[in-house]
Amino acid sequence: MTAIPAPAHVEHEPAHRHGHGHAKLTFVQKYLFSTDHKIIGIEFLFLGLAFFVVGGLLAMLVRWQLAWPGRPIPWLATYLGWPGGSMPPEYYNQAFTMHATLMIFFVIIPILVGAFGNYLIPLMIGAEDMAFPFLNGMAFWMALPAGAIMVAAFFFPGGPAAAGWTSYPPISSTFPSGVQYQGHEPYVGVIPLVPPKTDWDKIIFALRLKGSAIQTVDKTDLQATPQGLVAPFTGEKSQVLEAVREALIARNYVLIPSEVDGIVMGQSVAMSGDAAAPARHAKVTVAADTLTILADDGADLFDRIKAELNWQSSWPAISIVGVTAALLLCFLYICTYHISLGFRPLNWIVSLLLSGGGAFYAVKGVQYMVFDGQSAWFFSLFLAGFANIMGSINYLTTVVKLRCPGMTMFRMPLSVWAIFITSIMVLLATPVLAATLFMNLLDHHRLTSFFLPYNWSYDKGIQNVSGGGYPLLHQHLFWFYSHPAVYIMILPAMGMVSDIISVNSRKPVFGYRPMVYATASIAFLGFIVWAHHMFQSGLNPTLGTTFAISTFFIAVPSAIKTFNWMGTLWGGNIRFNTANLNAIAFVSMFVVGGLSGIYMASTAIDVHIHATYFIVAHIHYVLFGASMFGIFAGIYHWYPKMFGKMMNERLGKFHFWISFIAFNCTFFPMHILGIHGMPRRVAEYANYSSFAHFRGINVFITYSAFVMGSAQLLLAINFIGSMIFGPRAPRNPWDATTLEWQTSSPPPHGNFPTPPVVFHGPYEYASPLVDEDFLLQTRFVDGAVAAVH
Amino acid sequence: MLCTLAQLSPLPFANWSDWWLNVNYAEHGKSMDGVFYFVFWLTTFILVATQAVLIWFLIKYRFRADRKKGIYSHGNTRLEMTWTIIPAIILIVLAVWSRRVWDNYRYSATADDPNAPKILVIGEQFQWNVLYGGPRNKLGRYLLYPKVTDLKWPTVPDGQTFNFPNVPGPAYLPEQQALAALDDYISQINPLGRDYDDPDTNPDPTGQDAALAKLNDRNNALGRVLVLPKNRAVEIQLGSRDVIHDFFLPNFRTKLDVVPGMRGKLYITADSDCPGPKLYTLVELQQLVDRGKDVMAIVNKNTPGAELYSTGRRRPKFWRLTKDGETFLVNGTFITADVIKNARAAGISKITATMTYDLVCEELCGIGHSKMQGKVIVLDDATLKEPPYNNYFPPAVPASPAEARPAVLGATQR
Repeated sequence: MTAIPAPAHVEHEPAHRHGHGHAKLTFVQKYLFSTDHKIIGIEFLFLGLAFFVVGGLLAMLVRWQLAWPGRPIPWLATYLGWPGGSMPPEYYNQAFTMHATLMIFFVIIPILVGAFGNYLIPLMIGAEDMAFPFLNGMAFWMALPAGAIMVAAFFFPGGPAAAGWTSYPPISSTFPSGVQYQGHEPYVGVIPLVPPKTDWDKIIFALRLKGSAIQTVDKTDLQATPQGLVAPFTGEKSQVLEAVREALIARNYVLIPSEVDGIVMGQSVAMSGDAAAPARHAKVTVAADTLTILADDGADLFDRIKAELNWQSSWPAISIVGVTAALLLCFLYICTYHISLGFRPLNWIVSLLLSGGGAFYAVKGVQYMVFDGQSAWFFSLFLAGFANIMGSINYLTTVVKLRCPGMTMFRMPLSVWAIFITSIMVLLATPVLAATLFMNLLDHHRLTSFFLPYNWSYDKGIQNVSGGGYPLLHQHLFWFYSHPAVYIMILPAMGMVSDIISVNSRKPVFGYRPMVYATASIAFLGFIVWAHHMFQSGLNPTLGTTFAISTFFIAVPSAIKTFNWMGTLWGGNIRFNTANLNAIAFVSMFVVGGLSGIYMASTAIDVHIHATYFIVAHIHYVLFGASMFGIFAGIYHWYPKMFGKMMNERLGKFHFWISFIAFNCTFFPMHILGIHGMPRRVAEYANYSSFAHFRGINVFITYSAFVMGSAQLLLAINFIGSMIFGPRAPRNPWDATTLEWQTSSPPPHGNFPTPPVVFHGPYEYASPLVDEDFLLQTRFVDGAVAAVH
Repeated sequence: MLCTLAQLSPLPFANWSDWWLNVNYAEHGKSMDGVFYFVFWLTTFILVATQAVLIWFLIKYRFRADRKKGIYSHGNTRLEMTWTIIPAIILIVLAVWSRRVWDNYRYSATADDPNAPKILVIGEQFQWNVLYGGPRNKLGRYLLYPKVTDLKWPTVPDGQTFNFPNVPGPAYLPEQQALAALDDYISQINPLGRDYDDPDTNPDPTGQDAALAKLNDRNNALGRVLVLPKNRAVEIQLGSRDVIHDFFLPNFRTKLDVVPGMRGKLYITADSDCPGPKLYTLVELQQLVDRGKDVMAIVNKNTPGAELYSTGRRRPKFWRLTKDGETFLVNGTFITADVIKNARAAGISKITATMTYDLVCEELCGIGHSKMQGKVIVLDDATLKEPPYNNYFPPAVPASPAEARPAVLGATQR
């Protein structure tokens, strides 16, 4: 135990911490483009909950298809114009891909890390705000365009990404091979072998490679003749011919010297040397002042360039509007804090002009990078990764530097510890994801082949990139991020649940320090287990064993945490309010999800259950059963602090019980499907005789999922209704000890009227030193120091 | 211990295997199931125990106003050490056991056997191609595609025509033209990237057996049933033409991603319990069909009531079951309710057939992913001697230790 800070040291910290003048803040700065961690946290919460709705509806679509494949979905089928009303398989692929992507990257991570991390850290450690408030806001306003690009992809021709949330190349870095969909362009092949469109395109393309020649031919003077296209030119004939010759050579025409002379002589030249295929010839004829060209190559490339440089590109208007708006807000946020010309209307005009221009060019840039759903997926997550990194730097600095007097590291609540450790993981892992996504994006643009090997071919197109890449490299890099991401998605929930269970059991957390060490060791081990997702991927089997062993070890700290939660409940005086019910459900469901993880940790068992519904069951037990119930618990627990109103307990309990029962009915049967080998990500499993008899159980699962989805309406009603009709929340409705409950609900700007001073650990419930069953962290009692070990 | 565990299915009702682990027919799968059942009972016990304790705590320590305070305890180090060390020991045991089972599967002794029949399975969107080593047990080189930068055109096999543009190779053409020419070549002549310059790709070098020469033709290979010899170790090589697929045999505890640019290797021995071709009564067949099982007819000269069908010299010969001179069952037909009805009408009471097992693609491979299914059958020696399966595998040679290859990677691992 470090030295306990003396009160004298505290008085050293005068009240001028509040001296930076909140009065100057405009309305926009206060509530929209706020740098206050509480507002940003709530913005992240709203962002996450909005995407929760979208992601949840996508899950309902997926479930519909699995229960009743081919049956038209009422209203939606006609609206989307599906052929025959039934869901096309590519739409199914898109639906589950986007469901997973949105839920992971835009629901769980933003809510757990963005919302609760932001809201709780400064309040719980007694800081007045984050270390870098502007950067904190930037993290949110960067996450917004990321989300907008992801959503914009829904409206693209061809739809959003359909390669699964793991986006393994080559399926993600090449285009899916062609099926006509919804009247759009077929979404074909590696090389679309399309015939050139207009002859004018051919000429321009041939000549634009040599800039000087372009001026010699004018479009208005172009004439189509039976011999080809004829254009008068001005200037020296030899210059024009030289330009044409170089342009053609640059296009890989094979020109032998006599044929070059042929051009100069004004004779037609067979460019390919293949007399049997006249349609593919390029004919160049030059009279005294007239250039005649019939070129046939490069038009396809020209079309591509033209399409990508086009303002509209392949983007429909709604996507452009959405992404532009998000980028405009992002730039406006920057301008709000960096344009200060001394006169407010002038500030506004300049800000709007700058942001408008910035957004215009940013959208053009984004359009150039994002030409279909898959590239939108890459680029959106690339941006979201930046937002995560900004946030995590902020959290780390805040926790290290801004703890209030007396708040030693080991007096921090476990929520703060969990988010602190999570931030380290985000900081270390996310750059790897960014690199992976960018490489894959380049592959997708057909510029590189980081992940594309030699010697593959599609049915309607052959490999036109150099090859030599390695598909498993992407899996290694992706899981190097995404396995830690699994813990990024659960550690904060673990911390919050520890707090909530302790508060509501009226008992200290069982083994506070072991909990911290367990969290840290999960974080460490989380970095060396990534290849357990790749046991069956062609990985070296011995390497598989290595990762299996490290994976088994990660079960140990998980077990410690579970038993410690149960130890916390032991001997308590447990209040069953909604928050605690959700927290206990977290523990219970985490046990199921953790135990099913042992199956796939074993290389031997994983052979059978890898990529089956067993995995689906496992991930949902961990990510919905644990993380999502943890989020619910956090919402019910901290809602009074966030919005100053109490939530309706009765409605909350209805929401909990319906969700909990329907959740188990939905996902528990999936274990059995998986044990029988039913593959995930399959739109029509009844094609396989082994799985055809699973129709009935899938219908049951779908009904359960619908109930579970509808139950979230109760949360929405409770959430919005309580804001309006809820009774005012007292300062400390749960009789909790931690700092956030010792300021008003909601806390003012600056959080604490006077800087708090901490004398105890965070979990002094049932303390023998005081009459009440809780001892506030700020309350000074003789002997308490000794009681905290 | 493993066997007793493996019999402990938690679902005792009839046809339980439809709702539980698929019946295992691979030799390496028995030990896998052993680990599975050990983990299953272990986790079930822990699950029930933990949830019971949790619920007990929730009831016993529920809020009561007369209980003024909970127990003031910050933990118990000895207790925590206990529940750290016990799981750690269990998990170490599991890790060591899993490793042994895993190495037995991936570093199979079959790798050292030069006579193990070779099968090459090539995944493509959205079909499986199955190629066999043939009597010489050689596969040759596949999945080599020409590129636009090649200086020479690829080889066109004898007897097929393809006109390339009149230049020495694709590199002499503008890129688009070269791509078009090569694309035509690949889709019309050589979808699987077979290297026609490699003599090993020709299963019939002497040119005497027309059926053998066509063994690995694209038309034969595409969508073909994967045949495994009963009780004989085979080497399965996996290659992908386009994207990543996954080769999963639920009944053989076998799974490996099929990655373009990589050649996966698996070794399977279908064990002797696996039901091969046998005479099924129509009642049995009807039951299997009702349960949604795919059963495939095997018709050859050993089949009761089969006759050799041939009309004229140019028509192929095959064995068939007839009714009034009309063929209603040939080799490879899947038994349906109609087939059973016809057989009953024709007075046939028993049909030689074999169970088929699913070959599942478990890795998302695109729009047609759910269509990408294959079938596996296991045949006994007698059936493998008869057409059309007689060409698939080399004759079994008892391997002598002197001929065995030098130890490969696997040998040192065991």
